[in-house]
Amino acid sequence: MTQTHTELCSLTIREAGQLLKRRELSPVELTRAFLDRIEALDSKLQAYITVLPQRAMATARAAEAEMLRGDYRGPLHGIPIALKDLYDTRGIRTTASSRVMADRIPKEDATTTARLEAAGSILLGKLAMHEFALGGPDPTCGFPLARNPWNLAHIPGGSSSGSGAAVAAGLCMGSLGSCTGGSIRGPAAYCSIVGLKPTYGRVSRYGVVPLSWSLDHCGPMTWTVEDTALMLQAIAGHDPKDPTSSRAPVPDYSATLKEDITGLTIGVPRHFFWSDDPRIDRETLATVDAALQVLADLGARVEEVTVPTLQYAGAAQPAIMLSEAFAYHQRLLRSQPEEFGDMVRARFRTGGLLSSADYVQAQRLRNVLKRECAQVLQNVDVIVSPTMSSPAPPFATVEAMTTARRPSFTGPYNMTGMPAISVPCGFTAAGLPVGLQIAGKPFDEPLVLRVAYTYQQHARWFEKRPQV
Amino acid sequence: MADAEGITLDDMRVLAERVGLCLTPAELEHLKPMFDFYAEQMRVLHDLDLAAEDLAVAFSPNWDLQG
Repeated sequence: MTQTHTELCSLTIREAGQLLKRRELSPVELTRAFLDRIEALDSKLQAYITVLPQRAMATARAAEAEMLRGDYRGPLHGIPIALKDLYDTRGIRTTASSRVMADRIPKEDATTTARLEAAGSILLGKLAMHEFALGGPDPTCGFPLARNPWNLAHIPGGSSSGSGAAVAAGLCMGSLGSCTGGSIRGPAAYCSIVGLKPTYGRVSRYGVVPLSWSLDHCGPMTWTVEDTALMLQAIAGHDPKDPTSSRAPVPDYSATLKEDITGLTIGVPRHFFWSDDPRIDRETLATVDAALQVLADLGARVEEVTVPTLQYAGAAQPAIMLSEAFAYHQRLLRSQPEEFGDMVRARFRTGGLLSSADYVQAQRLRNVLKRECAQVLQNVDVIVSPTMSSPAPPFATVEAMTTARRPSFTGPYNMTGMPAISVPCGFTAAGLPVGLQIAGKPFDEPLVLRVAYTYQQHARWFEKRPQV
Repeated sequence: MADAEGITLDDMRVLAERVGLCLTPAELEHLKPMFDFYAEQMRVLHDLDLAAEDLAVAFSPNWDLQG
């Protein structure tokens, strides 16, 4: 078959996987197309910190040889992916976008890195991110700032900024992001792609540079829900190297995607997400209301629910995150503070000034929030909301406290550990993407994915690609 | 320690030194608005009556819906 590079780079993982399996497409040809596209476009997007052309082509040739021998590893075999630059990669520089780790070369892969490699994927490179995964693009961090493919003057969200930009612009087929308060779902929403924060404990954090141990999650970012299910399948499961890793059985995440959603109950906490807070964008709310109507038209019952403690999550989450971040970084903050970017240095230092009473109170509030969500989820199947309170802001308006001052619609689910996904649900009049957030019961990723898949197949926003 | 104008720089210096951070007056001045922002959020949290609510120190991966 003959396909242009643009066509190849617009394939979904599922589509490419089927062509590869039938030997109608070569992993070498596919990888070459992505490397060429990175070469052509990444100077604009700055999504990559490190590109690995020789390694990627060698892996692609090996994958091709395996497939020709009939040794097919599965739906990720021969699929070009990229990793946020805090996933350890053996022998490959892993910087967390910080001068502190500028020359750090891990001796071991993160568990997720190893699992994706075992699944046969091809690593194209390491992606830009906000320094140490703390929200906010900081021009003083010493690393490139990824840009939003839908409008280069706007941020792609963060902290998995390069992952959002690269997947949206067709510079890789899928990526892993990490999420402490919304760093997977945020860039997914801002870049019109899919991002899943799985249940806490579902995906190993071993070998991933931490920000906040009790809030950090790892998860996939892809063009479609179907592809997210495929990537999750490869990385989910118990890891003895991660003390918080769950032994819960791993289901087949693709098996129930296509079941309909008739009869499901969707809870909507309008009191929080639709409040009259002037920082919440009304166009975003109208777009999500339209998406809720689509879900209702597809047979789901939509009802309002109340989670009283949601209004305090925005205060508790940073107290936990910054306290734990300070604990991890304190030695370097004392010995080489100048190596940190200005934004991160200030926020990490602030974490050191918070008190144990602050941390304990925040953790106690976390328990209340978790219990309230559990109670709501006894009566509804999923909780739906906007992913972000407003569209991606322009770089020119972002300063150190921009993310901290904005109402967080994603952070509450880092507090509870529930699975939550962002799926594209439309665009503002200015052409900026809007995301729909769907959260579910712990370890009920299959239902979260099913609702997202059903919506995506009906709304079909994935058919619209950015013109970079 | 903090009043309507927020924390004093002297109090902030003591807090910083307690965790091993030796910050210059300029650095303290730079950090103060951020600290005051979070301190106000903490004040809201401490005003809440959480009764005998337990501490979620360890997050259970096997989160119990009935719990």
